[in-house]
Amino acid sequence: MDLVERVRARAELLRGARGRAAPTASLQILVRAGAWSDPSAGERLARLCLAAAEALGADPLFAARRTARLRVQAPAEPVLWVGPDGGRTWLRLGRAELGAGCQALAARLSAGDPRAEATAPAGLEILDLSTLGALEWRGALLGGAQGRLCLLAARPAPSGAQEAFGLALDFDAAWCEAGRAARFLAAVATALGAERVGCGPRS
Amino acid sequence: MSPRREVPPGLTRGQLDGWIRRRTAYINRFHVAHWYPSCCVQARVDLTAADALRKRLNAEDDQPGSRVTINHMINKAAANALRNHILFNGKYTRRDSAMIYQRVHAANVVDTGGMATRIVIRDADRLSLRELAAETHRLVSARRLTLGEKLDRYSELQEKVRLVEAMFWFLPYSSRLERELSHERALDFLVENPSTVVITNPGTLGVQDCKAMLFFGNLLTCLRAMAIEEEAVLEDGQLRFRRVLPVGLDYDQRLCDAGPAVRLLNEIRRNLEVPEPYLVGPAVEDPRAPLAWPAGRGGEEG
Repeated sequence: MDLVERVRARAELLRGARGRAAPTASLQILVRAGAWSDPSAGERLARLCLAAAEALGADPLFAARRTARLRVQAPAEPVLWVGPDGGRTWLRLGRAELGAGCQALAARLSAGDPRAEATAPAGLEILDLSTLGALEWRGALLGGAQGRLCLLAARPAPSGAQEAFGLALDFDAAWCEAGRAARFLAAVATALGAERVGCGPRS
Repeated sequence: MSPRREVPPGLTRGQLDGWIRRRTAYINRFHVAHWYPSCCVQARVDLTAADALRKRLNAEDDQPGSRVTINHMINKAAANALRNHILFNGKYTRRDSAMIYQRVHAANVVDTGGMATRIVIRDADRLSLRELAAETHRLVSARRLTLGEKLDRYSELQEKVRLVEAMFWFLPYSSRLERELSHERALDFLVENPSTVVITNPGTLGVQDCKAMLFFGNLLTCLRAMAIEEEAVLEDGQLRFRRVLPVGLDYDQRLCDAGPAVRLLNEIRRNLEVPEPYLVGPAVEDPRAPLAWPAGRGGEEG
Protein backbone atom coordinates (compact mmCIF):
# COMPACT_ATOMS: atom_id res chain seq x y z
CA MET A 1 0.00 0.00 0.00
CA ASP A 2 1.60 3.27 -1.02
CA LEU A 3 1.21 6.56 0.77
CA VAL A 4 -1.64 7.85 -1.38
CA GLU A 5 -3.65 4.69 -0.88
CA ARG A 6 -2.94 4.79 2.82
CA VAL A 7 -4.13 8.40 3.16
CA ARG A 8 -7.22 7.58 1.13
CA ALA A 9 -8.00 4.62 3.36
CA ARG A 10 -7.62 6.77 6.47
CA ALA A 11 -9.92 9.39 4.98
CA GLU A 12 -12.55 6.69 4.49
CA LEU A 13 -12.17 5.69 8.11
CA LEU A 14 -12.54 9.29 9.25
CA ARG A 15 -15.59 9.79 7.12
CA GLY A 16 -17.12 6.65 8.58
CA ALA A 17 -16.61 8.01 12.04
CA ARG A 18 -17.61 11.50 10.97
CA GLY A 19 -14.33 12.62 12.46
CA ARG A 20 -15.66 11.97 15.93
CA ALA A 21 -14.01 9.92 18.59
CA ALA A 22 -15.99 8.21 21.32
CA PRO A 23 -15.43 9.57 24.86
CA THR A 24 -12.70 7.05 25.41
CA ALA A 25 -11.37 6.05 28.82
CA SER A 26 -8.48 3.67 29.37
CA LEU A 27 -7.65 1.21 32.12
CA GLN A 28 -4.40 -0.59 32.56
CA ILE A 29 -3.37 -3.64 34.59
CA LEU A 30 -0.07 -5.43 34.96
CA VAL A 31 0.21 -9.19 34.44
CA ARG A 32 3.29 -11.16 35.36
CA ALA A 33 5.30 -12.76 32.62
CA GLY A 34 5.13 -16.54 32.65
CA ALA A 35 4.38 -19.51 30.49
CA TRP A 36 1.85 -17.48 28.52
CA SER A 37 4.46 -14.95 27.40
CA ASP A 38 7.09 -17.47 26.18
CA PRO A 39 8.75 -18.22 23.87
CA SER A 40 8.11 -15.70 21.09
CA ALA A 41 6.20 -12.46 20.60
CA GLY A 42 4.01 -14.14 17.99
CA GLU A 43 2.87 -16.90 20.32
CA ARG A 44 2.37 -14.42 23.14
CA LEU A 45 0.02 -12.40 20.97
CA ALA A 46 -1.73 -15.55 19.76
CA ARG A 47 -2.38 -16.60 23.37
CA LEU A 48 -3.68 -13.13 24.14
CA CYS A 49 -6.06 -13.38 21.19
CA LEU A 50 -7.41 -16.71 22.41
CA ALA A 51 -7.82 -15.34 25.93
CA ALA A 52 -9.59 -12.23 24.66
CA ALA A 53 -11.96 -14.37 22.59
CA GLU A 54 -12.78 -16.41 25.68
CA ALA A 55 -13.44 -13.26 27.70
CA LEU A 56 -15.64 -11.90 24.91
CA GLY A 57 -17.82 -14.97 25.23
CA ALA A 58 -18.84 -13.75 28.68
CA ASP A 59 -19.04 -10.04 27.80
CA PRO A 60 -19.45 -9.28 24.09
CA LEU A 61 -19.87 -5.53 24.58
CA PHE A 62 -16.20 -4.81 23.84
CA ALA A 63 -16.50 -6.39 20.40
CA ALA A 64 -19.66 -4.47 19.61
CA ARG A 65 -20.03 -1.41 17.41
CA ARG A 66 -22.30 1.53 17.89
CA THR A 67 -24.56 1.61 14.86
CA ALA A 68 -26.76 4.50 15.96
CA ARG A 69 -26.84 6.86 18.87
CA LEU A 70 -28.73 4.47 21.11
CA ARG A 71 -27.85 1.18 19.51
CA VAL A 72 -24.89 -1.15 19.64
CA GLN A 73 -24.54 -4.37 17.74
CA ALA A 74 -22.47 -7.21 19.10
CA PRO A 75 -21.23 -9.93 16.73
CA ALA A 76 -22.80 -13.34 17.24
CA GLU A 77 -19.37 -14.87 17.89
CA PRO A 78 -16.07 -13.36 19.06
CA VAL A 79 -14.41 -11.35 16.32
CA LEU A 80 -10.95 -9.88 16.73
CA TRP A 81 -9.10 -7.32 14.70
CA VAL A 82 -5.44 -7.87 15.47
CA GLY A 83 -2.47 -5.64 14.74
CA PRO A 84 0.84 -7.36 15.53
CA ASP A 85 4.03 -5.35 15.89
CA GLY A 86 2.36 -2.01 16.54
CA GLY A 87 -0.29 -2.51 13.87
CA ARG A 88 2.21 -2.95 11.04
CA THR A 89 -0.29 -5.36 9.57
CA TRP A 90 -3.90 -6.06 10.46
CA LEU A 91 -5.79 -9.30 10.51
CA ARG A 92 -9.40 -10.20 11.13
CA LEU A 93 -9.86 -13.31 13.24
CA GLY A 94 -13.15 -15.15 13.44
CA ARG A 95 -14.18 -18.48 14.86
CA ALA A 96 -12.34 -20.52 12.21
CA GLU A 97 -8.98 -18.82 12.77
CA LEU A 98 -9.31 -18.85 16.54
CA GLY A 99 -10.21 -22.53 16.51
CA ALA A 100 -7.05 -23.47 14.66
CA GLY A 101 -4.89 -23.43 17.78
CA CYS A 102 -2.11 -21.29 19.16
CA GLN A 103 0.73 -22.36 16.80
CA ALA A 104 -1.33 -21.92 13.65
CA LEU A 105 -2.62 -18.58 14.88
CA ALA A 106 0.91 -17.34 15.60
CA ALA A 107 1.99 -18.31 12.10
CA ARG A 108 -0.99 -16.54 10.65
CA LEU A 109 -0.34 -13.40 12.66
CA SER A 110 3.24 -13.20 11.44
CA ALA A 111 2.00 -13.31 7.84
CA GLY A 112 -0.60 -10.55 8.12
CA ASP A 113 -1.53 -8.52 5.10
CA PRO A 114 -0.41 -4.87 5.18
CA ARG A 115 -3.16 -4.04 2.70
CA ALA A 116 -5.81 -4.99 5.22
CA GLU A 117 -5.39 -1.69 7.02
CA ALA A 118 -8.04 -0.06 4.88
CA THR A 119 -10.81 -2.23 6.30
CA ALA A 120 -12.89 -0.66 9.04
CA PRO A 121 -12.33 -2.37 12.39
CA ALA A 122 -14.88 -4.98 13.38
CA GLY A 123 -14.93 -6.69 16.72
CA LEU A 124 -12.43 -6.15 19.47
CA GLU A 125 -9.24 -4.50 18.31
CA ILE A 126 -6.02 -5.95 19.72
CA LEU A 127 -2.88 -3.91 19.29
CA ASP A 128 0.52 -5.35 20.15
CA LEU A 129 2.91 -2.64 21.31
CA SER A 130 5.03 -4.98 23.43
CA THR A 131 7.56 -5.48 20.65
CA LEU A 132 8.06 -1.73 20.33
CA GLY A 133 8.76 -1.05 23.98
CA ALA A 134 5.71 1.13 24.72
CA LEU A 135 4.88 1.23 28.45
CA GLU A 136 1.72 3.33 28.46
CA TRP A 137 -1.19 3.76 26.12
CA ARG A 138 -4.33 5.74 25.77
CA GLY A 139 -6.18 5.64 22.51
CA ALA A 140 -9.35 7.07 21.02
CA LEU A 141 -12.11 4.85 19.70
CA LEU A 142 -13.36 5.72 16.24
CA GLY A 143 -16.15 4.49 14.07
CA GLY A 144 -18.38 3.35 16.91
CA ALA A 145 -15.91 0.75 18.19
CA GLN A 146 -16.46 -0.20 21.83
CA GLY A 147 -13.12 -1.66 22.82
CA ARG A 148 -9.43 -1.90 22.10
CA LEU A 149 -7.04 -4.14 23.98
CA CYS A 150 -3.39 -3.16 23.93
CA LEU A 151 -0.48 -5.34 25.00
CA LEU A 152 2.34 -3.19 26.36
CA ALA A 153 6.00 -3.91 26.89
CA ALA A 154 7.38 -5.78 29.88
CA ARG A 155 8.69 -3.78 32.82
CA PRO A 156 10.04 -4.61 36.26
CA ALA A 157 7.07 -5.45 38.47
CA PRO A 158 6.57 -3.29 41.60
CA SER A 159 7.27 -6.29 43.80
CA GLY A 160 8.74 -9.66 43.03
CA ALA A 161 11.51 -10.60 40.68
CA GLN A 162 9.42 -11.45 37.64
CA GLU A 163 8.75 -8.70 35.13
CA ALA A 164 5.22 -7.80 34.13
CA PHE A 165 3.44 -6.83 30.92
CA GLY A 166 0.96 -3.97 30.76
CA LEU A 167 -2.49 -4.71 29.42
CA ALA A 168 -4.55 -1.63 28.55
CA LEU A 169 -8.18 -1.43 27.53
CA ASP A 170 -9.77 1.53 25.78
CA PHE A 171 -13.52 1.65 26.20
CA ASP A 172 -16.39 3.99 25.51
CA ALA A 173 -17.25 5.72 28.78
CA ALA A 174 -20.79 6.39 27.61
CA TRP A 175 -21.59 2.73 27.23
CA CYS A 176 -19.51 1.10 29.86
CA GLU A 177 -18.35 1.96 33.33
CA ALA A 178 -14.90 1.27 34.66
CA GLY A 179 -15.94 -1.70 36.78
CA ARG A 180 -17.15 -3.64 33.79
CA ALA A 181 -14.01 -2.81 31.82
CA ALA A 182 -11.81 -3.84 34.76
CA ARG A 183 -13.68 -7.14 35.04
CA PHE A 184 -13.14 -7.77 31.34
CA LEU A 185 -9.41 -7.14 31.77
CA ALA A 186 -9.38 -9.49 34.74
CA ALA A 187 -11.17 -12.15 32.66
CA VAL A 188 -8.54 -11.83 29.94
CA ALA A 189 -5.76 -12.22 32.51
CA THR A 190 -7.48 -15.26 33.99
CA ALA A 191 -7.95 -16.86 30.57
CA LEU A 192 -4.26 -16.26 29.89
CA GLY A 193 -3.36 -17.97 33.14
CA ALA A 194 -1.36 -14.89 34.10
CA GLU A 195 -1.02 -13.54 37.62
CA ARG A 196 -2.07 -9.92 38.09
CA VAL A 197 0.16 -7.49 39.94
CA GLY A 198 -1.23 -5.29 42.68
CA CYS A 199 -3.80 -5.46 45.43
CA GLY A 200 -6.88 -3.43 46.22
CA PRO A 201 -6.61 -0.30 48.37
CA ARG A 202 -9.35 -1.54 50.72
CA SER A 203 -6.91 -3.86 52.48
CA MET B 1 -43.60 -5.18 51.41
CA SER B 2 -42.15 -5.71 47.95
CA PRO B 3 -39.37 -8.27 47.54
CA ARG B 4 -35.89 -6.80 47.42
CA ARG B 5 -33.62 -7.95 44.62
CA GLU B 6 -29.92 -7.62 44.02
CA VAL B 7 -28.74 -6.25 40.68
CA PRO B 8 -28.01 -9.14 38.32
CA PRO B 9 -24.30 -9.85 37.71
CA GLY B 10 -22.52 -9.25 34.38
CA LEU B 11 -24.70 -8.93 31.34
CA THR B 12 -24.84 -11.48 28.59
CA ARG B 13 -25.56 -10.88 24.92
CA GLY B 14 -29.26 -11.46 25.38
CA GLN B 15 -29.45 -8.76 28.00
CA LEU B 16 -27.79 -6.10 25.87
CA ASP B 17 -31.08 -4.40 25.05
CA GLY B 18 -31.93 -3.91 28.70
CA TRP B 19 -28.45 -2.59 29.26
CA ILE B 20 -28.90 0.01 26.56
CA ARG B 21 -32.14 1.21 28.09
CA ARG B 22 -30.41 1.58 31.42
CA ARG B 23 -27.42 3.38 29.96
CA THR B 24 -29.45 5.96 28.05
CA ALA B 25 -28.86 8.77 30.51
CA TYR B 26 -25.12 8.22 30.33
CA ILE B 27 -25.07 7.85 26.58
CA ASN B 28 -26.83 11.19 26.28
CA ARG B 29 -24.52 12.77 28.80
CA PHE B 30 -21.45 11.58 26.92
CA HIS B 31 -22.86 12.45 23.52
CA VAL B 32 -20.32 14.28 21.43
CA ALA B 33 -22.22 17.54 21.92
CA HIS B 34 -21.96 17.29 25.71
CA TRP B 35 -18.62 15.95 26.75
CA TYR B 36 -15.84 18.34 27.36
CA PRO B 37 -12.07 18.50 27.31
CA SER B 38 -10.84 16.66 30.36
CA CYS B 39 -7.30 16.64 31.68
CA CYS B 40 -5.74 14.35 34.23
CA VAL B 41 -2.90 14.75 36.67
CA GLN B 42 -1.51 11.92 38.75
CA ALA B 43 0.48 11.54 41.95
CA ARG B 44 1.73 8.77 44.22
CA VAL B 45 0.93 8.80 47.92
CA ASP B 46 3.07 7.14 50.58
CA LEU B 47 0.63 5.17 52.74
CA THR B 48 2.93 4.44 55.67
CA ALA B 49 1.33 6.96 58.03
CA ALA B 50 -2.21 6.32 56.78
CA ASP B 51 -1.80 2.57 57.32
CA ALA B 52 -0.58 3.14 60.86
CA LEU B 53 -3.51 5.43 61.64
CA ARG B 54 -6.02 3.01 60.16
CA LYS B 55 -4.66 0.14 62.23
CA ARG B 56 -4.73 2.22 65.38
CA LEU B 57 -8.32 3.40 64.82
CA ASN B 58 -9.51 -0.11 64.05
CA ALA B 59 -7.77 -1.49 67.11
CA GLU B 60 -9.62 1.05 69.24
CA ASP B 61 -13.01 0.16 67.72
CA ASP B 62 -13.33 -2.97 65.59
CA GLN B 63 -17.10 -2.86 64.99
CA PRO B 64 -17.74 -3.86 61.32
CA GLY B 65 -20.09 -0.92 60.90
CA SER B 66 -17.44 1.64 61.69
CA ARG B 67 -14.20 0.08 60.49
CA VAL B 68 -11.98 2.60 58.74
CA THR B 69 -10.54 1.56 55.37
CA ILE B 70 -8.13 3.25 53.01
CA ASN B 71 -11.15 4.04 50.84
CA HIS B 72 -12.67 6.14 53.61
CA MET B 73 -9.37 7.91 54.14
CA ILE B 74 -9.14 8.78 50.44
CA ASN B 75 -12.66 10.21 50.52
CA LYS B 76 -11.93 12.24 53.61
CA ALA B 77 -8.63 13.52 52.24
CA ALA B 78 -10.33 14.64 49.03
CA ALA B 79 -13.24 16.33 50.83
CA ASN B 80 -10.89 18.16 53.19
CA ALA B 81 -8.68 19.34 50.36
CA LEU B 82 -11.66 20.60 48.37
CA ARG B 83 -12.47 22.99 51.20
CA ASN B 84 -9.39 24.97 50.11
CA HIS B 85 -9.93 24.39 46.35
CA ILE B 86 -13.63 25.01 46.06
CA LEU B 87 -13.43 25.71 42.32
CA PHE B 88 -13.36 21.95 41.75
CA ASN B 89 -16.51 21.41 43.79
CA GLY B 90 -19.37 21.82 41.36
CA LYS B 91 -21.42 20.52 38.51
CA TYR B 92 -22.56 21.43 35.05
CA THR B 93 -25.97 22.99 34.80
CA ARG B 94 -26.09 23.35 31.03
CA ARG B 95 -23.73 22.57 28.23
CA ASP B 96 -21.42 25.50 28.90
CA SER B 97 -22.23 26.61 32.42
CA ALA B 98 -21.37 25.29 35.82
CA MET B 99 -22.27 26.00 39.42
CA ILE B 100 -19.77 25.93 42.27
CA TYR B 101 -21.08 24.81 45.67
CA GLN B 102 -19.96 25.83 49.11
CA ARG B 103 -20.79 22.51 50.74
CA VAL B 104 -18.82 19.42 49.82
CA HIS B 105 -21.01 16.39 49.12
CA ALA B 106 -18.69 13.58 48.07
CA ALA B 107 -20.08 10.88 45.80
CA ASN B 108 -18.52 7.48 46.04
CA VAL B 109 -18.75 5.01 43.19
CA VAL B 110 -20.08 1.64 44.33
CA ASP B 111 -19.50 -1.30 42.03
CA THR B 112 -22.48 -3.59 42.32
CA GLY B 113 -21.25 -6.16 39.83
CA GLY B 114 -23.63 -5.23 37.05
CA MET B 115 -24.03 -1.50 37.18
CA ALA B 116 -22.02 1.13 38.99
CA THR B 117 -23.88 3.54 41.18
CA ARG B 118 -22.98 6.22 43.67
CA ILE B 119 -23.63 7.00 47.25
CA VAL B 120 -23.33 10.53 48.53
CA ILE B 121 -21.67 11.52 51.79
CA ARG B 122 -23.12 14.89 52.65
CA ASP B 123 -20.76 17.47 54.16
CA ALA B 124 -17.92 14.99 54.02
CA ASP B 125 -15.42 17.65 55.00
CA ARG B 126 -17.26 18.45 58.25
CA LEU B 127 -17.46 14.85 59.43
CA SER B 128 -14.72 13.16 61.35
CA LEU B 129 -13.01 10.19 59.73
CA ARG B 130 -14.85 7.77 62.00
CA GLU B 131 -18.22 9.37 61.21
CA LEU B 132 -17.50 9.25 57.49
CA ALA B 133 -16.62 5.55 57.71
CA ALA B 134 -19.83 4.72 59.58
CA GLU B 135 -21.95 6.74 57.16
CA THR B 136 -20.32 5.04 54.15
CA HIS B 137 -20.96 1.53 55.55
CA ARG B 138 -24.59 2.43 56.17
CA LEU B 139 -25.22 3.95 52.74
CA VAL B 140 -23.47 1.21 50.76
CA SER B 141 -25.55 -1.54 52.36
CA ALA B 142 -28.76 0.39 51.74
CA ARG B 143 -27.81 1.22 48.16
CA ARG B 144 -27.02 -2.38 47.19
CA LEU B 145 -30.45 -3.44 48.36
CA THR B 146 -32.51 -0.81 46.54
CA LEU B 147 -30.62 -0.36 43.28
CA GLY B 148 -32.23 -3.26 41.38
CA GLU B 149 -35.67 -1.81 41.96
CA LYS B 150 -34.57 1.64 40.80
CA LEU B 151 -33.04 0.28 37.61
CA ASP B 152 -36.24 -1.53 36.72
CA ARG B 153 -38.22 1.67 37.24
CA TYR B 154 -35.75 3.59 35.11
CA SER B 155 -36.02 1.02 32.30
CA GLU B 156 -39.80 1.35 32.30
CA LEU B 157 -39.53 5.14 32.15
CA GLN B 158 -37.18 4.93 29.19
CA GLU B 159 -39.72 2.84 27.31
CA LYS B 160 -42.37 5.51 27.89
CA VAL B 161 -39.98 8.29 26.85
CA ARG B 162 -39.26 6.48 23.60
CA LEU B 163 -42.93 6.11 22.90
CA VAL B 164 -43.55 9.81 23.51
CA GLU B 165 -40.60 10.73 21.33
CA ALA B 166 -41.93 8.57 18.52
CA MET B 167 -45.31 10.29 18.77
CA PHE B 168 -43.97 13.83 18.96
CA TRP B 169 -41.08 13.65 16.53
CA PHE B 170 -42.30 16.89 14.98
CA LEU B 171 -41.52 18.93 18.11
CA PRO B 172 -39.36 21.93 17.27
CA TYR B 173 -35.69 21.18 17.29
CA SER B 174 -34.91 23.72 20.02
CA SER B 175 -37.20 22.10 22.58
CA ARG B 176 -35.76 18.67 21.83
CA LEU B 177 -32.28 20.08 22.26
CA GLU B 178 -33.27 21.64 25.55
CA ARG B 179 -34.54 18.29 26.78
CA GLU B 180 -31.39 16.54 25.68
CA LEU B 181 -29.24 18.97 27.58
CA SER B 182 -31.16 18.51 30.83
CA HIS B 183 -30.24 15.10 32.08
CA GLU B 184 -30.33 15.76 35.75
CA ARG B 185 -33.73 14.19 36.17
CA ALA B 186 -32.70 11.09 34.28
CA LEU B 187 -29.43 10.84 36.16
CA ASP B 188 -31.30 11.09 39.43
CA PHE B 189 -32.66 7.62 38.80
CA LEU B 190 -29.23 6.12 38.78
CA VAL B 191 -27.35 8.34 41.17
CA GLU B 192 -28.38 10.32 44.15
CA ASN B 193 -27.51 13.64 42.76
CA PRO B 194 -26.81 16.22 45.43
CA SER B 195 -23.14 15.25 45.02
CA THR B 196 -20.58 17.88 44.10
CA VAL B 197 -17.51 15.72 43.46
CA VAL B 198 -17.03 12.07 42.58
CA ILE B 199 -14.41 9.74 43.99
CA THR B 200 -13.89 6.36 42.41
CA ASN B 201 -11.62 3.48 43.22
CA PRO B 202 -10.99 1.13 40.31
CA GLY B 203 -7.90 0.02 42.20
CA THR B 204 -10.06 -2.47 44.10
CA LEU B 205 -10.37 -4.32 40.78
CA GLY B 206 -6.60 -4.35 40.28
CA VAL B 207 -6.43 -1.40 37.90
CA GLN B 208 -2.92 0.06 37.87
CA ASP B 209 -3.49 3.04 35.66
CA CYS B 210 -6.50 4.83 34.34
CA LYS B 211 -6.93 7.79 32.06
CA ALA B 212 -9.83 10.05 31.18
CA MET B 213 -13.40 10.32 32.30
CA LEU B 214 -14.86 7.44 34.20
CA PHE B 215 -18.05 8.35 35.96
CA PHE B 216 -18.55 12.04 35.61
CA GLY B 217 -22.26 12.29 35.13
CA ASN B 218 -22.60 16.05 35.42
CA LEU B 219 -19.81 16.69 37.92
CA LEU B 220 -16.76 18.80 37.26
CA THR B 221 -14.16 16.74 39.04
CA CYS B 222 -13.33 13.09 39.49
CA LEU B 223 -10.68 11.74 41.82
CA ARG B 224 -9.61 8.17 41.21
CA ALA B 225 -7.49 5.80 43.23
CA MET B 226 -5.57 2.93 41.64
CA ALA B 227 -4.31 -0.34 43.02
CA ILE B 228 -1.80 0.00 45.84
CA GLU B 229 1.74 -0.84 44.83
CA GLU B 230 4.87 -1.67 46.75
CA GLU B 231 7.98 0.26 45.90
CA ALA B 232 11.53 0.10 47.13
CA VAL B 233 13.12 3.26 48.51
CA LEU B 234 16.64 3.93 49.70
CA GLU B 235 16.67 5.85 52.99
CA ASP B 236 19.90 6.56 54.84
CA GLY B 237 21.59 3.80 52.92
CA GLN B 238 18.88 1.31 53.92
CA LEU B 239 16.54 -0.30 51.45
CA ARG B 240 12.94 -0.48 52.60
CA PHE B 241 9.62 -1.24 50.96
CA ARG B 242 6.65 1.05 51.28
CA ARG B 243 3.08 0.96 50.06
CA VAL B 244 2.13 3.69 47.63
CA LEU B 245 -1.26 4.66 46.28
CA PRO B 246 -1.40 6.16 42.79
CA VAL B 247 -4.15 8.80 42.64
CA GLY B 248 -5.36 10.79 39.67
CA LEU B 249 -7.53 13.83 39.23
CA ASP B 250 -9.69 14.41 36.16
CA TYR B 251 -10.92 17.96 35.67
CA ASP B 252 -12.28 20.21 32.98
CA GLN B 253 -9.49 22.03 31.25
CA ARG B 254 -11.75 24.95 30.46
CA LEU B 255 -12.37 25.58 34.12
CA CYS B 256 -8.84 25.80 35.41
CA ASP B 257 -5.23 25.15 34.49
CA ALA B 258 -2.96 22.39 35.55
CA GLY B 259 -1.47 24.44 38.42
CA PRO B 260 -4.57 24.54 40.66
CA ALA B 261 -5.31 20.91 39.83
CA VAL B 262 -1.83 19.82 40.88
CA ARG B 263 -2.09 21.91 44.06
CA LEU B 264 -5.37 20.20 44.92
CA LEU B 265 -3.80 16.81 44.30
CA ASN B 266 -0.82 17.77 46.45
CA GLU B 267 -3.13 18.73 49.29
CA ILE B 268 -4.92 15.40 49.02
CA ARG B 269 -1.53 13.71 49.18
CA ARG B 270 -0.49 15.76 52.20
CA ASN B 271 -3.73 14.87 54.00
CA LEU B 272 -2.99 11.18 53.51
CA GLU B 273 0.72 11.34 54.26
CA VAL B 274 0.31 13.50 57.38
CA PRO B 275 -3.05 12.18 58.55
CA GLU B 276 -3.10 13.05 62.25
CA PRO B 277 -3.62 16.81 61.92
CA TYR B 278 -5.37 16.88 58.54
CA LEU B 279 -7.49 13.74 58.24
CA VAL B 280 -8.98 12.64 61.55
CA GLY B 281 -11.20 15.62 62.29
CA PRO B 282 -13.13 18.15 60.21
CA ALA B 283 -11.34 19.99 57.40
CA VAL B 284 -8.62 22.46 58.32
CA GLU B 285 -9.41 25.63 56.40
CA ASP B 286 -6.61 27.74 55.06
CA PRO B 287 -7.85 31.35 54.76
CA ARG B 288 -4.92 32.22 52.49
CA ALA B 289 -5.76 29.57 49.93
CA PRO B 290 -6.50 31.40 46.65
CA LEU B 291 -9.29 29.03 45.67
CA ALA B 292 -11.05 28.77 49.05
CA TRP B 293 -14.62 29.98 49.46
CA PRO B 294 -14.40 33.75 50.21
CA ALA B 295 -14.63 34.47 53.93
CA GLY B 296 -17.90 36.02 55.04
CA ARG B 297 -19.73 35.09 51.83
CA GLY B 298 -22.82 32.94 52.30
CA GLY B 299 -23.43 30.01 50.03
CA GLU B 300 -26.24 27.85 48.78
CA GLU B 301 -28.08 25.64 51.19
CA GLY B 302 -28.25 22.60 48.94
